[in-house]
Amino acid sequence: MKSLLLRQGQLKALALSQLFCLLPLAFVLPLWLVPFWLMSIAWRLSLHRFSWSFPSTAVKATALLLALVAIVLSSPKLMSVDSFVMFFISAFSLKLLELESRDDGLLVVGANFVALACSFLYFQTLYISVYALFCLAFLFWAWLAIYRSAGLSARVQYAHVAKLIAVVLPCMFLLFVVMPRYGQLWQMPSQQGKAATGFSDSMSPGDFSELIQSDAVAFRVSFDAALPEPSERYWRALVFEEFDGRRWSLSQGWLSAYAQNYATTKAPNQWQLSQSDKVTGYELLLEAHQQPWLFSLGAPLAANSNSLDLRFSSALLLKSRRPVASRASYWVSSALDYRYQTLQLNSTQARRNLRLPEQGNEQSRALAKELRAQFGTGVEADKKLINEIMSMFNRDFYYSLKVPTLGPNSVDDFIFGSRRGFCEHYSSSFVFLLRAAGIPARVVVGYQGGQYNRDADYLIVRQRDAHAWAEYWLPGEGWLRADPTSAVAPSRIEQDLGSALSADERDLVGGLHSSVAALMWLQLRMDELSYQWQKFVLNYDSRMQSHFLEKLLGAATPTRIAMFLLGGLALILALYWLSLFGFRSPRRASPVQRAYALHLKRLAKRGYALKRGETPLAYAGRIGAVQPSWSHALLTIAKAYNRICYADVGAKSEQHFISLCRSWKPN
Amino acid sequence: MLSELQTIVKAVGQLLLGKEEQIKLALCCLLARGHLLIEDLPGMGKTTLAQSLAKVLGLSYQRVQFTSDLLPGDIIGGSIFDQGKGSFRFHPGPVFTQVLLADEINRSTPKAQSALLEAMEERQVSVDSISHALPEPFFVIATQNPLSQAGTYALPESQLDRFLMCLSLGYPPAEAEKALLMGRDPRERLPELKALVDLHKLKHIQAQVEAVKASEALITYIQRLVQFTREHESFYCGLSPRAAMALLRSAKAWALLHGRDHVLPDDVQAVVPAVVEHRVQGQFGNASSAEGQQNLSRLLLNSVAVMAP
Repeated sequence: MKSLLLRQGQLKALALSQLFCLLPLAFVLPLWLVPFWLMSIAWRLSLHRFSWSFPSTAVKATALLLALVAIVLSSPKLMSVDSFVMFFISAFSLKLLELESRDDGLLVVGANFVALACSFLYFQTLYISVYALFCLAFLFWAWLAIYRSAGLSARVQYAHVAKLIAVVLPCMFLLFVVMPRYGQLWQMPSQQGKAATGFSDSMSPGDFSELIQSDAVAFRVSFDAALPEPSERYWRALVFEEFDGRRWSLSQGWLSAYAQNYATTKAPNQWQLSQSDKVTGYELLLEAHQQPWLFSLGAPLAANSNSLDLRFSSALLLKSRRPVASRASYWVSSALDYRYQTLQLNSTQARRNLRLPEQGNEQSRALAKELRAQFGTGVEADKKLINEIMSMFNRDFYYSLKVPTLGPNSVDDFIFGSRRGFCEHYSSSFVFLLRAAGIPARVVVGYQGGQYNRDADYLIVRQRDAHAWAEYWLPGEGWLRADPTSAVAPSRIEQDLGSALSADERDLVGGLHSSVAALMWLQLRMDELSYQWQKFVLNYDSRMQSHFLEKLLGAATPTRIAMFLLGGLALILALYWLSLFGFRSPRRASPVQRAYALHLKRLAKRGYALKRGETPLAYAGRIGAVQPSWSHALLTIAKAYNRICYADVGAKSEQHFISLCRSWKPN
Repeated sequence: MLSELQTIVKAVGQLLLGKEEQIKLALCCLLARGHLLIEDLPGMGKTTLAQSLAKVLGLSYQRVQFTSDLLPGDIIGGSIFDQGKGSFRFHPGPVFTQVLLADEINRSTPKAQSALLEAMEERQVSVDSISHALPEPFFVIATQNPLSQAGTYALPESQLDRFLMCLSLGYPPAEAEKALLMGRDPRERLPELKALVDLHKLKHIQAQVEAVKASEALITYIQRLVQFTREHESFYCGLSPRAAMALLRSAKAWALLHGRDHVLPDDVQAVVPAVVEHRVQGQFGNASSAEGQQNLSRLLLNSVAVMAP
């Protein structure tokens, strides 16, 4: 039997479906794959047009070798998911060069399904899933194109595809719900060259201004109970204790996975935490930021997560043992009203939080000394001194995102020069002044505020909410939060960044231009959708699964789950089977047809069913041969039926036929 | 009229023993104004069938043996210079007849084939840009040998489509063969056949075929048959509207031959193999071969419900 060749139309369908399936991968894999694929497809499509020949084995081998070299050169690690996907895609492109028969076409369709699945290695959003569904429909269409006879109307083709999708989707859902959920079986490499937005492990002037222009979501939070006040929404992430005159950075070794980590079942004793019973619980859904630090409100008391290995660290901070390389969620319970380390600061801590560079920023040092001289010493004097600095900020300073470049003495330049700036300038110079005045202080960075989605009851925190504030330590009081920015621009804290800015600076901030209400609304809805997607689909792990199955089936025993799966699949297949036999809205059959159907039904009950494609006369003849006593009646009915249906006789004989059918019964 | 048709079948049946079904189909084909292709091995009675049909219908008969050196002029004729009158005169070729037997049509070159096929379709031939109408009625009965394909030019699908039916006679049953061997040679008995109808009568019968009723239920049955070939994966390509019309016309003739003024699904089923098999091409399990095509028509008839669901 000769193997049938692909037609040009089928080839085009295959090429198109391949294009769609590979498109997402083009954004993450090295760019040389794009021309590689394009050249293969162009060659294959030109075979018809220019009557070229299929490439020889030598050409194909060379191309494969080239692809291998390119893979080795372009993948940082040879044995990684990336390089395997690259190898698959290049082999798949080369397969086009020998795409000749229908069997090859089927192979390409199968590989397309794998390519589509590959894009889920890199993207897991709702949008890619919707896109994948579109690709799926397209793939089915191409698949059917291989089997289809030519010249079928588009409507029939779409109906075929729609039917397949209608069968596949419930199966997909069922398998999703029931299949055992294991964790990731392989480690996905973090995406090189694509640093996630977010702050880094240090802060120098100007760092935040870039961040503030980003509209990207940092995380989303849903609270168990009421939403905390805006002024309490300080999401702590990092504490900067080292200052070199310009740059604030983490204390050494904090990032190490082994530095000061405590189990997250209860607040560690070392924190010396005392809190009131104002506790709030919340679930935080974090976008991948490729960093180990996590965000929490106030003082975290307990935290847990299914995907992250959580640890409490020093200074009330929460972190993950490994960088967060994919979206993750964790649950935290925090005290909003608390005091910590009230007793004393150990000497290392005190030294670290008072340390300033040897020299530089002399004017500021002088100012601090002057203030210290003015207020004297003691806790009360410290408080007055801090108030004085705050009121100085309030009096003479402006909140602005347009800041002149600051020199090496950035604190002096700011306090005595520009006097314009935003959170990083205020927190930095505030902490500098305090340290210079002998009060232990440090910079805290994280996010402040967030946009509340009222309908879905969750908070969206974006990069533009990034914020830096300060903490200082007083004997007997412990560490206290001070936000010098709030002294300058209270609306930054109470509302959002946009309201703290003058109109001409507002467009510096990412996303705030969506002052058009409808756009804002749309943005919120889209965000809500992807949040729900993350919460219920991507976070669907073994715990959620057993919970869900228990609710659905009463108890999640293996037998019940198996029954549920098999029963569900059987139901879907049965519905599909019914649809094959015209499961449409039943058209009301004419009385003649109903009478004849009754006749057929009676005979079928006796074991003489009508065969598909059998004419009334042939049917009557076949059964008459087995049951001679019925023969006459059967032939009469068949002939009468033929007369009515095919010879167009009047209504009178219809009545006769109906009574004939009703009265005769096989005995 | 029924009796006339039956006598025709009977008369031809006396020469071609045990082949009543095929004789009826061939007669149907001619009554439905269609051309007939007979595909069989040599010596199965193809020529006898063609000649006896022409004879009993009272039609003139010509035979052209198609060979690889046959030229279009050999079929349709040509202009020859007449010295006496000093001008060209058209000499009609063998195609100017009422029944033309084109023997072994696939032995000739496509050029000669297409000359004949043009005549079949247009019912006229053009020589030196002058059209000459062919006699009325005009039937072509072509034969081809399915074996020994070396040096043959298979008819392309588009030309196969012009034949209303394609029949194959097959070996006779044992009884019939015995009678054949014991009796006189049918070739000798051929001249004894008498015309059973005249031209006027034949035209009347052809008009009657057109008048046979096809109800809406029957038309939808034919439509569903055709639709099935267009959608089912076993068919490389579906039947054309011309094929659907051919099916209906043949079924009408078959109904008339059985004395009905309306078409039954049984009539359609009777003509489906002859009308459909040479027009479809299978794929996968039913790739094009005679056996595959028979499978296809069986599949078609056994898969499409007669009554609309």
